[in-house]
Amino acid sequence: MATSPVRTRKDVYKLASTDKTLEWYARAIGEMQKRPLNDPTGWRYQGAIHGYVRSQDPYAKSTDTLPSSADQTKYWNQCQHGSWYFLSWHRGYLIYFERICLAAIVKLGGPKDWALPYWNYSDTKNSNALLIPPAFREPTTGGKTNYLYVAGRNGGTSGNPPIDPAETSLECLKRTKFTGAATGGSPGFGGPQTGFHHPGGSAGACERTPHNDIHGAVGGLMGSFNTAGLDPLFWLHHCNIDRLWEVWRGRPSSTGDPTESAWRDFAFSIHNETGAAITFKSSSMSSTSANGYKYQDVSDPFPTRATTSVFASVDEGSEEESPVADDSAPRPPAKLAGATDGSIPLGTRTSSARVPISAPAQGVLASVGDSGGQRVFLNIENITGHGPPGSYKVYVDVPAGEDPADHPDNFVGTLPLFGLSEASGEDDAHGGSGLTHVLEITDLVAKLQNRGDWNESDVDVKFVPLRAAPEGADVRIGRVSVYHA
Amino acid sequence: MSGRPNTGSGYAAGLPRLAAEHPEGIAYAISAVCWAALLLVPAGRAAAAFCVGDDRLAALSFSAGAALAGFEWTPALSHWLTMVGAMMLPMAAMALRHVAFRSLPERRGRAMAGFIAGYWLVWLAVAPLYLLAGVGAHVLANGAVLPPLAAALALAAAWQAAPARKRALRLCHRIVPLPPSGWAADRACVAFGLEHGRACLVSCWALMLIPVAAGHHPALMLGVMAAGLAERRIPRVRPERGVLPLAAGALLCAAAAGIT
Repeated sequence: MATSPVRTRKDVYKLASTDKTLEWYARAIGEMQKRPLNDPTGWRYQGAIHGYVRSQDPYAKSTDTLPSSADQTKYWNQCQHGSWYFLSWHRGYLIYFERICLAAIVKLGGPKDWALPYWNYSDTKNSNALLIPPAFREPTTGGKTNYLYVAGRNGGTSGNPPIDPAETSLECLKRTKFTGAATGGSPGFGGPQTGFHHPGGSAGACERTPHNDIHGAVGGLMGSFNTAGLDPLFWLHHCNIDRLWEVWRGRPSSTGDPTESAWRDFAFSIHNETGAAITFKSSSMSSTSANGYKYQDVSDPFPTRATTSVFASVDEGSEEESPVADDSAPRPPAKLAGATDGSIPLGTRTSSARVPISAPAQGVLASVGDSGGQRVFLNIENITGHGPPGSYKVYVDVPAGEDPADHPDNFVGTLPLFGLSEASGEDDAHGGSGLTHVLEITDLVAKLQNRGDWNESDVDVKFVPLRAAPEGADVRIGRVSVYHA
Repeated sequence: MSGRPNTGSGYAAGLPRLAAEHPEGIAYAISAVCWAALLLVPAGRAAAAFCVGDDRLAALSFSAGAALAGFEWTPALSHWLTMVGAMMLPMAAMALRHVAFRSLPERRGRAMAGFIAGYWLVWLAVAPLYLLAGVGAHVLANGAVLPPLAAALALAAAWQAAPARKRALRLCHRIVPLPPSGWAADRACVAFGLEHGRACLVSCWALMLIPVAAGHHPALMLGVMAAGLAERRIPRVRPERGVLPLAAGALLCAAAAGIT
């Protein structure tokens, strides 16, 4: 499977002015776009591997020849989300897409060591990191079609989507376990154990932020499973997510990829650069070098500690003071402490939910602030709705009547709704169960208790629009709950 | 390492851990008990009074009136519910897991019981239809097994890949938010059981006719249960794959019965 030499995927913002990586990428896209919809090495086919709904195909034309129904079932709509296969499937997807690009580039006379670049939007040393890379912003370049550009991205040609820094948080790297739970507790770095899992469900920490956030922030084609792969920027975004997997694997506190056969031996179908059908297993995705590539930079953004805190703030430099949560050892599943009775609509204004805590759980949660070992998770369950994916900032226990923006300490994470429409229809694989996101709030609960501000009987949750769901999208949270483990 | 201790250090392996991590195991346990009742308990076997091919029914004259007049409703219904528990409850295990983990610990047992009650109620409601189908097939086939079995297999083959069935199968994976306490929680758990049972019924009603038509042969019951579980648990098993074996089975039974 390996090709040699090992090619290097570089930071798109660190490419030298003379570097031709993006120029060759654009030319490869131009070549692939000439290929018909049913050509596995074509641009549209590659996008359909991630997701395809004919009515959403922006390039649909009457002369299209679709692959057979069996081939569509086997090769299209394969992207894995809300699953522990999220990272391994997308790595395989990237590898074969990159090889198809490389084959086109070599055929055009380009370099044999070409590799996709990555977009590191979390790079706090780069003041432009949150902007869409310049080469992707304009419809034309030098009077010719710019194949790196697609219309409809948020921010248009300004290249400013805009992205909130919270959406590029790397807190996910502090998860010690790859596999999480879909039962209320830690989502893990890589997501919960599932079978083949296309839309919906409960996302792992890396999939939620920054992955889902960036999809929603860029918007346009990137805002839907069924068109995301048609935006050239998608591949740079996913190279960065793939790179974060490598960063996580290199952290001292990380416990490694799943060892279960259900993960290692699960095989996915795809086509290689010759158009031949092949399969790849998750276990074959654990090494980048074995797959012929590496990243320019996989340094740890939190290098100062051998053991890291899952609660520490990235920006506040407070790691030394933060408690440590080791979720590497077996722990009993999380238990429900309380939940809302009904659903909560999300709109253009701040929404609130009050979670009553059960009497038995009040006593358990009371020990969080004095190192009682309990961890606390906010579950935002069964979110359904339609339209472009909105996003909300989530705050817990903001003092009554006060603006959440004035209480950054009470901010616990974003609520990115990428995949919402796909998870909300009865025709989806899970009958429209929606999305579920889990945010760890242990550190905040401990702080509130230490300050004497913890209300043991209720947890107040506020959802502040970052990019509000559009009118008529009928976005609704099925239930907000609090778990302890 | 300083700070929070890891409370999981004393979390030993064993049955308590298995029960904590897999509360849905109760569905398999109930299924096992039901299977034991069906296979081992004489009364359970005798209760299969409405099954085509059962000795007691075979003793009846082959007229609808006589068949129904000699029919024993109570053992038939109890057998039916036992059969549902054995074959169908494992298919609801993942929904039951959702109910368990999304309920307050002190209400978990109650919530799961409510879900199971709702699920079973759906199948109880349609029991008379299956009962009548069994008796009707028995009478029409003059006591023979193969013709009704061929018809049941053909019906299941025709329904297997129907769009309505695929939709119902997707709804078998649906999970819903549950209120945490009070009457609202009880009602929601029963309602979820009813909803899940209805999806199971729509997807599997034709498959369930197969053992009914064949005198509840254990191998057929196991086969139907395995097929239902495979569709729900094995990744990417497409319902279309079941059409051919079901149709082939129908043809074989028809040929063996001399129906051409």
